[in-house]
Formats: sequence, C-alpha cells, structure tokens
Amino acid sequence: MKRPAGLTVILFFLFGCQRSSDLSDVELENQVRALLELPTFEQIYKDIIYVDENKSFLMFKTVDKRVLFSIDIKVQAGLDFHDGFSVRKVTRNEVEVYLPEAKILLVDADESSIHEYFIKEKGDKITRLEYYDEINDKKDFIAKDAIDRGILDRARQNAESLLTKLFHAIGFDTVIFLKFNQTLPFGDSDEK
Amino acid sequence: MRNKKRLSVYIIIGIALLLIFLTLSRSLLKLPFGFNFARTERKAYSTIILKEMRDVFLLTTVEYVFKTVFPHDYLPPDRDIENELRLYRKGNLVFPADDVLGKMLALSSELGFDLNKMQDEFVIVTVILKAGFNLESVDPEDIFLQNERENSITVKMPVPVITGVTIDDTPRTQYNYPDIPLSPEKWKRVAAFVTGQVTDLVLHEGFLDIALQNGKDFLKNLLKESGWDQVNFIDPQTAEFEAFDSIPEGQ
Repeated sequence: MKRPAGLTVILFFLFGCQRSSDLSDVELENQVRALLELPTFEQIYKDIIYVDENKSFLMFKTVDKRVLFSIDIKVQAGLDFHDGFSVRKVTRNEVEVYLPEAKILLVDADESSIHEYFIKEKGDKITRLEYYDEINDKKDFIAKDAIDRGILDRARQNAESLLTKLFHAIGFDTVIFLKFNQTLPFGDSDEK
Repeated sequence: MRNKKRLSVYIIIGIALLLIFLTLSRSLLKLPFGFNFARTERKAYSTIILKEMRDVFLLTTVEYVFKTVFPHDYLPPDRDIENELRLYRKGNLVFPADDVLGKMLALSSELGFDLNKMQDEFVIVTVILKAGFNLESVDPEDIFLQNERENSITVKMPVPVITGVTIDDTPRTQYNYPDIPLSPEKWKRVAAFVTGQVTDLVLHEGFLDIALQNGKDFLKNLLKESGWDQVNFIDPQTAEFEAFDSIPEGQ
C-alpha cells in the first residue's frame, strides 16, 4: 500500500511541477525622445559574412547549414548638442560658438543592403541570431577603423562649415569656434 | 558454478550500462566526460571593406523607439486569419492596397511562411525612427528675414523629414526571446515590411510635427543667444511660407 503511494508522490513531483516559461511577457514600449544631433559625415562598410555549422552523429551528418551574404554597416559621426552647445555674441559682427566634441552617433547594420549569395539548409534552418552575432561582433572594429580614418575630424569640419553659413546668414561676419567646457558658464575656453 | 554464471551476467550487464552511460553522458547530457558520438562544428568568417564616405547635413530633433512583434502585430485579432489565408491561397480574395493583413499574407506567401504554424515563432523588432531636417539643400540665406529696427528675425522653417530609420541590432546576450529560423534574405524582407509599417504609423501620429517644434525650440535659443530679441517662425506648407520670398527685408 505504501509503495504505490510513494510512487505516486514521486511521479507527482516529476510531472506535476512544470518549469516556468522561459518567455517573459512581451513588452511593447514606444518612446519618443527629444534629440539634438547634427550628423555631418558617414562611412559605409561592406561586411561579407560566411557562417557554416554542421552536426554529425557517429559518422552521419545530421545538419549541414551554410550561408554567405553581405551587409552594409553605416558609421555616422557628428555633434550631439545635448553634450553642450552655446553661443556668445562678442560684437555686432562677431560671435563665439561653443561646440562639443564630435562623436560617433550611429553604427548600424543596414538590413535593406543584405545580399545573400547562397544558402544551404540541410537538417535544420539557419536562425537569425546565428548570423547576427557575426554582424554585432564587428561593430566595434568598424567604429575604431572609422575613427582611425578621421571620421571625427571630418564631421567636425562639416559641422563648423554648416554653422558658419548659418551665422553669416544672420549677420555675423566672424564666427569663432571653441570647445564647449561644461564647468564654465559660457564654455569659455581658448582650446579649439 | 551457478554463482559464477550469475556473476558473469552481472559483470556483463554492468559493463553494458557503463558503456551506455558514457555514450549518453557527453552526447545528450553534455557532461565533460564520456564518448562523443555527436559532434558540432561551427565556423564563421568575415571580410570588411570600406565602401563609401560621404558628407551628410542633417539636424535630428526627435527619436521614436518602437517595439513590435512580427508576425503577431500584423495579424489583426478581429479577422479570421485561417479562413482568409485559405481564400487568399486559392486566389479568391483581393485586399485593398493598405490592408495590413493583405500585405502580411502576400509577404508570408513570398517567403514561404506558414502563418498557421508560426503560432510560437516570432521576432521582436525594435525600430528607431529619427526625424528633423535635411539641410543639404537648405541655403541659410534663404530662410532668415531680419528686421534690425525691431531686432527681430523671422525663420522660414524647412520641411521636417524622416532623417533615419534603423533596426536595433540586439545581440544574442540581450535578446531574451527564442530565436527564429530566418535566412538573411528573408530577414531583409521582414525588416523592410516592419519598418514600412512603423514609419506609416508614426507619420500618422504627428511625429514630424514634434520634429518641427523641437527644431523651432533649438533655433529660438540659438538666435536669442545670438542677440535677437524676437524670433518668429513660418511653418512649411502654409500660405505665409509660400509668400515668404516676396516679403522685403526689414518687414
């Protein structure tokens, strides 16, 4: 009499307890955020990716999947005015403009540029994260390469050129660009 | 003699169980010992080439982060999906051009998705839209009208536009949902569909109006710091906007 009861208890714990779902509730979070960015230069890289995965049991290949594709990765640089921006009218014709450092504003894989050269799926299908890991792994390298090639200098030059035209249009003949310094009221600094 | 025989049987059974255990331990139980009859080999290679460098002149004043679930957000709950899918496949159903379900069925048909079997397959897509102004074709000389007598300036605002639409590339370590079988080409089509739908939605919700207002706020601060007492704006696509070029300086 005790054995069947004991077995019942064991079976209950084996099959009665269910694992909680690994899926959390899907959160749909829509968020609007004010920005003040001035992207002024970008570099586009082409990343050609090959992913190959195969599985075998004993000597038999059970899964053979491979894909070769390319995707563009865009690196965009410019100014983020939330890092600091101010203007000081020196005279009627002269203005000082305090700008933040140029920075990388965006490193993004452009899905619309995907070109799939070939795909082979035997035994299983290729999943999105399998190749997305490869894309994400390269972003830091690409951003560093863009910086080494001078993207930040070019972005700053373009920003200053654009702002110079704007201040000329509102009546200033001389526009002086200075580095914004958060510790001082007008960002006063003789650094450029 | 009988005991010896029994002992031999027990030894053979024990060896057989041990072999089975060693076989299962590595292959199925993923323990660090045992025979490995199942093998997985994975390779990944990447070549990166700088393709293009270009100047851009954008002022981005607002960002909208929108999360959506594909395909479930595009299967209206008040529609009989199974029935409409069946009729669509037979060619007995034509949808209006802007019907979301129609676009979804067309996409799933092209990509070989069986929506009936995709009950537990989904992908969370985070779309990031940015809006502001494309300043490339804007000449600052053409958008300011100064009145030095009153120390006021009028700004003819450029038309606000979507300055960028990107999909957040969430890495595996931060994507807490199950993966979905989707080749790069199919993902490209899904991404295009989702970004198109989300862009239409946010445009209807007045996203560009927010971009325009934020742009005005930025210019107002800049012009006031530059010494102007009064800053006026003329919005795009208004009668005043069209008449702007004919207003003489100083008025």
